[in-house]
Amino acid sequence: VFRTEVQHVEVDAFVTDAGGKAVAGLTRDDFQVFEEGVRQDITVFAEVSVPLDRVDAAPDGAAPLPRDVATNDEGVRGRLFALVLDELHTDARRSGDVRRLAAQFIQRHLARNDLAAIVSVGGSGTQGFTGDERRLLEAVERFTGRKLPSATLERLRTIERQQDMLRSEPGPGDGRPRPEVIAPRPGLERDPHDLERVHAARASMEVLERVARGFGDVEGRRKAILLFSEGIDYDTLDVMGATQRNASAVVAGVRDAIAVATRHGVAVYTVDPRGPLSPVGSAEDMPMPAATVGADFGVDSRSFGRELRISQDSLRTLAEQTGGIAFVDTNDFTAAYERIVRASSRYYLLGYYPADSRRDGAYRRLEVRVARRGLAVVAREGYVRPGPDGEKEEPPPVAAAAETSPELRALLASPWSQPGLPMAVNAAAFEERDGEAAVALTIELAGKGLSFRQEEDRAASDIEVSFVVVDARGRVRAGDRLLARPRLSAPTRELVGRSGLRFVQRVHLPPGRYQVRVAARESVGGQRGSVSYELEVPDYRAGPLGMSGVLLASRDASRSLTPVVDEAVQDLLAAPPTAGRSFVVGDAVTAYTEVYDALAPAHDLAITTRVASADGREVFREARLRPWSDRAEPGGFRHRVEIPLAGLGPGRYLLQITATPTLGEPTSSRELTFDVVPASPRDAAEARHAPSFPAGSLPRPRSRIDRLEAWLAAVERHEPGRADAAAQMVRSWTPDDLQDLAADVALIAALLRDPQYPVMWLVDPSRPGRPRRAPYTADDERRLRALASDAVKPCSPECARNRLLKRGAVLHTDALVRGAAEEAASPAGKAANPARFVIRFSDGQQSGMEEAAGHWEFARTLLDNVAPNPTRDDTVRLWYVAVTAYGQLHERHTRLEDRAVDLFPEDADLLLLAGTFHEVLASPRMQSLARSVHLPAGVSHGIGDERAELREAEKMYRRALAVRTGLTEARVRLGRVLQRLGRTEPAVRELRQAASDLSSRAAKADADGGLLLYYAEMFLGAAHEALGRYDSAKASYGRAAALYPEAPSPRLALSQLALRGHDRAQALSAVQAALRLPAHPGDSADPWWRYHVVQGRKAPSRLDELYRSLGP
Amino acid sequence: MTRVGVLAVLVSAAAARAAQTPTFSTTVQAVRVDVLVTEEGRPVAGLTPADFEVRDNGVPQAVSFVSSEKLSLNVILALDASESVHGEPLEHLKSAGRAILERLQPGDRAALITFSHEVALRQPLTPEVDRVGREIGRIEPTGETAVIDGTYAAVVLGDADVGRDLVIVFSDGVDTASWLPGERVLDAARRSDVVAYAVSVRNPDRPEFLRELTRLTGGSVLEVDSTRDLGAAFVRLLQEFRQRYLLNYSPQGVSSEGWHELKVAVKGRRRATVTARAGYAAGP
Repeated sequence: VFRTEVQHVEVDAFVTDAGGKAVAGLTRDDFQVFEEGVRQDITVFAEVSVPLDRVDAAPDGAAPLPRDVATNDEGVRGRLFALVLDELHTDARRSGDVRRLAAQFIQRHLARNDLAAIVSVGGSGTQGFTGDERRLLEAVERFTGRKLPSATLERLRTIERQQDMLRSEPGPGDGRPRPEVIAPRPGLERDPHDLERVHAARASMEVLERVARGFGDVEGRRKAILLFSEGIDYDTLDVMGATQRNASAVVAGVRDAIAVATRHGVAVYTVDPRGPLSPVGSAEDMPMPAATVGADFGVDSRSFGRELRISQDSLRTLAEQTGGIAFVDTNDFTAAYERIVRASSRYYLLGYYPADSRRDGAYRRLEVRVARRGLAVVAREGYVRPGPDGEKEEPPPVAAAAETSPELRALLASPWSQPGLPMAVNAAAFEERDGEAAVALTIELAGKGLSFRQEEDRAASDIEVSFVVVDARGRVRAGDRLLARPRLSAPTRELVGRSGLRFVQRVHLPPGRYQVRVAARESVGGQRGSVSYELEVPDYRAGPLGMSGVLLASRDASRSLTPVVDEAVQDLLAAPPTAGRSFVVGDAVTAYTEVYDALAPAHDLAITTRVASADGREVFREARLRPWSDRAEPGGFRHRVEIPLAGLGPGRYLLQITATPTLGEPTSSRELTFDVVPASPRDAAEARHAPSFPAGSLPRPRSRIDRLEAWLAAVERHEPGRADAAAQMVRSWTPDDLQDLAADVALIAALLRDPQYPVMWLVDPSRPGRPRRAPYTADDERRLRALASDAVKPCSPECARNRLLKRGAVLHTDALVRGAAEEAASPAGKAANPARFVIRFSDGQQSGMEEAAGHWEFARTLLDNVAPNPTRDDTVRLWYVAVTAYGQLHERHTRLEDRAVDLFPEDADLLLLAGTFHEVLASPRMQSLARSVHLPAGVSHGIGDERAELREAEKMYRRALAVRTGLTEARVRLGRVLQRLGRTEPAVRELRQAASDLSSRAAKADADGGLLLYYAEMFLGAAHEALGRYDSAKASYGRAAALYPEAPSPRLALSQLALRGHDRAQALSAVQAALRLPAHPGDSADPWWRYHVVQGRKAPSRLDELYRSLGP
Repeated sequence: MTRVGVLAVLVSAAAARAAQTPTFSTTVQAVRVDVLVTEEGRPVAGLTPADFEVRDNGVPQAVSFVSSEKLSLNVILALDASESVHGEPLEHLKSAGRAILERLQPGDRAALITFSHEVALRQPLTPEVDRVGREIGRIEPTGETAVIDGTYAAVVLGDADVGRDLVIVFSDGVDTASWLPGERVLDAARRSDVVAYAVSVRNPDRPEFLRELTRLTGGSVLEVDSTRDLGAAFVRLLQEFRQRYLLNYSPQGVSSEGWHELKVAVKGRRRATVTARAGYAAGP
């Protein structure tokens, strides 16, 4: 990098061994640098190795994750690559090759921390520096070559035309035959496109020069240009060997480009898309005209070879002179790219002060040698010294908002993000009137980058933010300067340190592509930085269906300080939007988007919000059907959705919002990625360890009293909802352990009620009438009484007793629920005479049978002892709701439903879950299991026949509805059960009522409404069909299809209905649609596949309620 | 006519086709009947049109002949990719699928549908049967079994193509996840002109749906005691399909609407078993 005042020259040297591998470990003494043949003292030496943060190997064809924020906090700084696509020197027929080659580089060779830009010489597609692969690929896709026809060919054609013309002219009239070749008229043999050719060559070189100059100010990054071109084929000598008139212009253009590139340390790698070429070119490229007259004018087959050689040489010259590599005459571009990447990742930086440092603007030849055998060096071959006027290259001035400080102006002049003050930017476009868009711009400065000075009792700083919006032609279209002078109290200072400062602005822009450049600085630490954000403002008038950008807010983020906020933007979310895309576990995110729908006639709009984890598993889905009357002008359908993160583990997630008009095609959607991160290091550690309990990591208690003591301690230590060490310990206990423990805990409970209770007898809570003699020694008894009196400490004996029982129950619940464990005995210990079993099953078949661990029963036994009456206790009720919902959701059935209903006969939630449990038992999968299962003698699977289970489900649903008429979920399921029982008319009545209740709920953005409505419509469709009402059936299935556009079941139903009406074509196309729908892994696409578990979907929040009910 | 079925479950059935008519709802101009003739379990070759007696709603018809060798075969494999075939059964299924592909002739086409709870068209009909083979290799079993939905997709797709359509459904379990009711899909199969076979592992929970499907379309269920027999079962099934006779006639003296009962017999062969579909639905 050149400094203008002190003449210091730096050279990047890429050293390879005979095998082409980069050589590491060389020292300064291994290098020799010569300028104009004079050896120079190397004053600066460094071996540079850019860590390659390779993009995670994405599965073949998978799209990169969409990011909607830009930051300058990028960790390791990668390399800068400018891909210059030279359409003026690419044959149109090879456009696809160039697109493919450029895309290959972007997709396979760019590292995550690299930035790349696409510059097209003819302006077909340009993309500023970005790490966003999608944007780069989009720009590449627009490339189309338009190289002029071969000069040789054109000249031959000219000569031919000229000959034809001369022959047809009237001759001298002497009747002699015409000569074969007629002397040419002067000048006509010239290439008719000569001027255009010169222009094209100059244009390409000027772009190269401009790009190289643009790199100028970037320090500390390896910079490279990849020039995709077939080279400049301008023959500087004419046919007679004389210099062509315009040759000097072409030569100067190339020279200037090289000069600028070398001055800025930019290596140019040239990539010739033609691949290997024979010297005369391929027949397709350069067809020889039939006539060979050209030879008489110095044009012959060798002319093509010469033309080709000139074009290849131009590429070689550009590369070699700038320290790059020319990839011509090759089609192994993968190897070529590997070399480019290697050369840019591991190289040596050599610097020296030239002995001769005149500022004369002269070109100085450079040579770098390595004094070791077998090593090759690639380095630039010269540089141009600054001229006498200093030739200082000021960045082009940017029309930033008035009063913007010079520091920020300098940052805003640069098209790429500059690290320093860490910040994040999001820009989201919304439609406004008259084709203009309002763009909500959210700027967040990270707290860690901000410093404060103490002013009395306040923390003070001055913060300046300035932004410009630059259009594709580099013109500034909008901008503003924002100032904040925070004077913060200690707690607020603390808050800002954690969550940073936020600015929300709104700018108005016409449709187009923009770069939003935001720069900020703070006065105390002097930190500054900038972020470039690539913004596309769609032309919402271009299509009938469009969608705005997506704004996100979160509960935690809404607490951070926002000194400047645009009220109109804040109103959309009822909170300021955030540019952060990392949310803490348990936070709640709100997303806002608008759907602009100009389709006719009036129709409903289904809006689906979906969150999937990195492995494609759907973790959240909400579908809403919005009536036409919801549409506002302007603003369209305004969609605000809450996404609780409570159930989500740390990781990366994809948010997708899709709008589907009930008219069918088209749909519109938006996607973005966000991360869920652990709240604190402790949480992080637990999150890592939660899913699996390492066996035997805790010592087993030695005696029965030891175990009881350990259990009492675990109950105290256990944090409800966590898979902590306490839960881990009890998880490892055997069924026999638990049985003994139940008796011991009952004894403690008795001692809490009556400290004088005789310890002589033990009552097994499961057999209360048969006390056993306690196996305790006198010493044990003393310890027991001491433990009981310790346990009483937190509150009164009555409350201590209940607290122990409830917390104990939750401890064992968490051992299963939070450990994602099954209710199967741990391998560590099995009971001598197993009394309880669990059947494992999948796909309607038994896959195993194991002894049950007994945690559910243990927990239930504890809760049975809650005083004065467990059936009046809310924690007990919540426990039954949470664990039965959990069990049904994960198909780990607790079988506690019927007991729960006995205890709480008036509880609608439990009645519903009891109904769904019996409906599950009536399902084909469980009926199949019942028929095929093998059980030991005396063990029963307890699954009734289909009709018996359906009737039991019906009874429970009716009871639930009697308690709570508005429990639509029970009504939908009742309708389904009635239909399966063959009572179709009553089924239709229930389903109709449910659908009408749900339609209004779904319209009111009820998260559940859309899901339940889908079921209601599907079942209603089936019921209508059974009654021969095919039109109604079709309408119902159609509405279900609109609610879940990716679900195949409604399509299959519609197909089958069409076939019924003898419409084979329609039947076929509906099946094809069902099969063509994008396949999501798992069962997320179609709610029908989750019908047997979906009733448990609220289990996470039910568990949270349970934990909260325990109090502090 | 005496029944001497070696394929223990063969039941008389009949096939019909509104050949050369774009949809089924237009007038029937020609009816195709796919007929299998066996004697002591072996397909009978060398019969001529004159050997057949076809009655359409009791009215004898003049039958012409379409040689089966001249028709290309469309084989649509509908394979169970659910959890229950995990492991060895799936490996045998894959090799059996490849075995049937190897025995296809030039001009034949094959397609692959798989079903778990979700039905997927892995490979549309293609003459490059290797591609189907490659797709079979990629099957990873997961999830529940939607054999009814999968069969429906296979029947509808098979019916849409010209040529002789053979649907082979492999499933070892009962349906646990389909949306469509079995009887609706059986109805669709009855209206189509595909011939469906099923390969099923013996299961205490008898696959009634597959039994009924094959009965209605003139195919059969091949039960295999061990999954190891699958390769042989597929090959036998394909041979049987190739040795069928395709009869063609223009209905004379019958109504152009409604259900037509078909009776097919072979003259003078008392020991022959004739398998054909039970009838066809014509008109709207």
